[in-house]
Amino acid sequence: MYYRSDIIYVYDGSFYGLLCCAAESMVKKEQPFRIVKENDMLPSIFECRRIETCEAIARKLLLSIERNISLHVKRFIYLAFLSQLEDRETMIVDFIHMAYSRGRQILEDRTAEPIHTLWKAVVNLQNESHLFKGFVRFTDYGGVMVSEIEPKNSVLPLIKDHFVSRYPRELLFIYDKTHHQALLAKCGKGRIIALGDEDIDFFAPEETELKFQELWRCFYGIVSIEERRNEACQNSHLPKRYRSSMTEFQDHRRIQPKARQELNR
Amino acid sequence: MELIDKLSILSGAAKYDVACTSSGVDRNAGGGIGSTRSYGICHSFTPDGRCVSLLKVLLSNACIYDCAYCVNRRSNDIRRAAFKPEELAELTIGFYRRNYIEGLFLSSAVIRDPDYTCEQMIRTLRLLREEYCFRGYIHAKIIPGTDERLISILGMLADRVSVNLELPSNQSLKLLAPDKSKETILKPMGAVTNKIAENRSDIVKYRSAVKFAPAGQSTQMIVGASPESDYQILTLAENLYGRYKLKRVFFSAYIPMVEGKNLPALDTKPPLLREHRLYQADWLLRYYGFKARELLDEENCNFNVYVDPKCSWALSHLDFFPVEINNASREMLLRIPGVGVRSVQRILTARRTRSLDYEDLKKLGVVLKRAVYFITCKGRYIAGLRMDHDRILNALLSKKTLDAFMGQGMEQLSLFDTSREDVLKCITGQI
Ligand code: SF4
Repeated sequence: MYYRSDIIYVYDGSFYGLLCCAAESMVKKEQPFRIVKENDMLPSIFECRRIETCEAIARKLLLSIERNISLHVKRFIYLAFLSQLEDRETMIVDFIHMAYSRGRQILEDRTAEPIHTLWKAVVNLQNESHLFKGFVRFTDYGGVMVSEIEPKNSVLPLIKDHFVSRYPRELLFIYDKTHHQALLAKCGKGRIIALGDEDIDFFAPEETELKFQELWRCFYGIVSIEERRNEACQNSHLPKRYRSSMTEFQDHRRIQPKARQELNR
Repeated sequence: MELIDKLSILSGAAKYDVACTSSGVDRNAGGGIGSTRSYGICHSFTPDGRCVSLLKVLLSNACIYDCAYCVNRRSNDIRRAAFKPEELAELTIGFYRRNYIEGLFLSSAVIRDPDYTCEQMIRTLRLLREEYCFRGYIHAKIIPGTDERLISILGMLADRVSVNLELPSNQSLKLLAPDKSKETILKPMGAVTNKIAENRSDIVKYRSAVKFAPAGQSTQMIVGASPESDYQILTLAENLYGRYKLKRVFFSAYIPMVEGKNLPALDTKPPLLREHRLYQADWLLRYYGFKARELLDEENCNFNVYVDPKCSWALSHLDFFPVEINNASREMLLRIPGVGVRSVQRILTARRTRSLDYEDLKKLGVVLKRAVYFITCKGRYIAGLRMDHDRILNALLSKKTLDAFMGQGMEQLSLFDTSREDVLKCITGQI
């Protein structure tokens, strides 16, 4: 059996890194007290052990989970990792231990911990990913379609295929400001890259782009029916925090004069 | 006229059509641009809380017909505009590339005659599908009286087609839409139903056959401009689902925009609560196994303003309750007030591994507020439950509805007084 040790695992924050933590805890037959990213580490009285990320070990564990438990469980673990749940790493490793002893039915028992908490986090991630399929707005910067988003969960891996297959002829760049990652897509292929912490500044868009933005704001402004006004309903479907990066909520006067100057130069 | 002026006139004229769904088909871009997703995607929400999914516009608002309730009618003095097919195709692609929309919802006033109008729409859709290789969602409206040959072309270009029923009875049509009739509406509707059926069997035979309206057919009717009861309307909807295999029937609360001797006065409030109840009942027909006759009849021919149709059914069928969560059939679980399709699915899955009690239900996200009066877990009601009249009313009605019920006239009651949860549920269909 595993015993709950008072050790803290420190890993690099990647999915493979976390899988290596799980592998380590199985080999050592111990359950770490916590698992933290190296950047989030605070001085602690507990012993810390650095877990090196090794792709081979991680892949082996994934394959084993798929063969011995199920594809579903494997996918669930990945999704839980992408969620915004605090301390998800520790719970995921607990979950992996449980899954090995209880088998594929484990996901049906949604009311037991930590499955219940993880499951809620996964649902939250999936909901947010779904929203972003609609809420992403592209700006055409000379042929590159650029978008900035600020999701709570790591949604890029979940929206990648959708955007890649929708716009196979476009060059796409979706920047996730929260997680400093970007989705790059070209010719029907996409990949996700890690970026630095600094904000990205873009050029002013061209005239045609501004024209389409203006047309869209015009359309958005007109289609609401005043007699049916119901902002509570709007807010619950489109929470305010998403709006700053959506064209229809941006003030054209703020963007335009600056853009105009650039164009005149 | 500038494009932006055309857009504002022609989207302003189209916005009262309530259907804006983009669901029902899965398709990828191939080598072109665009895809569709069967679950549908909302791109924005307007201050009225409605989803923006499609670029919803009229091709033209210069109508030769004179429907009493419509802003575009011939005798109304308004600015008229029309898109050139090239203009509209370019605009659609421009919006789509920026991920503003899921596709196009194209409707039109009757330009010269129904066939000419349909031809113009076909030109626009051809440009999109053939020149731009657009593979996103298209919903096209069919004008009553359009020739079948044109309908078959339109249906090959669009994902969904619809003929508006406009009003729930033939008398009302005669009175308010004299240029239309039951026949000119039902004929194209029937033609679409047949084409869809033929096409589906062709697809089985020849795999390469092009799909005809893969997202099916829908319709819309105005509620509150004419005197029909909820019972008549709901029965009509039920028949349309059965006979014409419609995917959706939309109801649109009448908003007075023009004066007319046969119309409600201009200051009449749109019957939003009534529309809301009809949608709730519509979900019950489509997903919960209810029949129109179970919900209403000739005597009780309108929905209760205080409680939703499911609650109201449960209250008049108390002998079916309580339902035991751990062994009731799916059909019975679906009849518990406040428990939606998704919750039922979760209950069914979870009870395979263990028998459930109230804590488990909460964790599964089942909303218990109303349900507790109608269920038992392992043979027991929830601890502390008191079945007195006031408490039950409290749980089943929102605060404001309750006040209205307790005596202060109910004229002020509107959709906005039903709880927010209620409004959300109607939209997601989890009643
Ligand atoms: S046919 Fe009737 S409802 Fe349609 S646009 Fe013309 S007047 Fe309006």
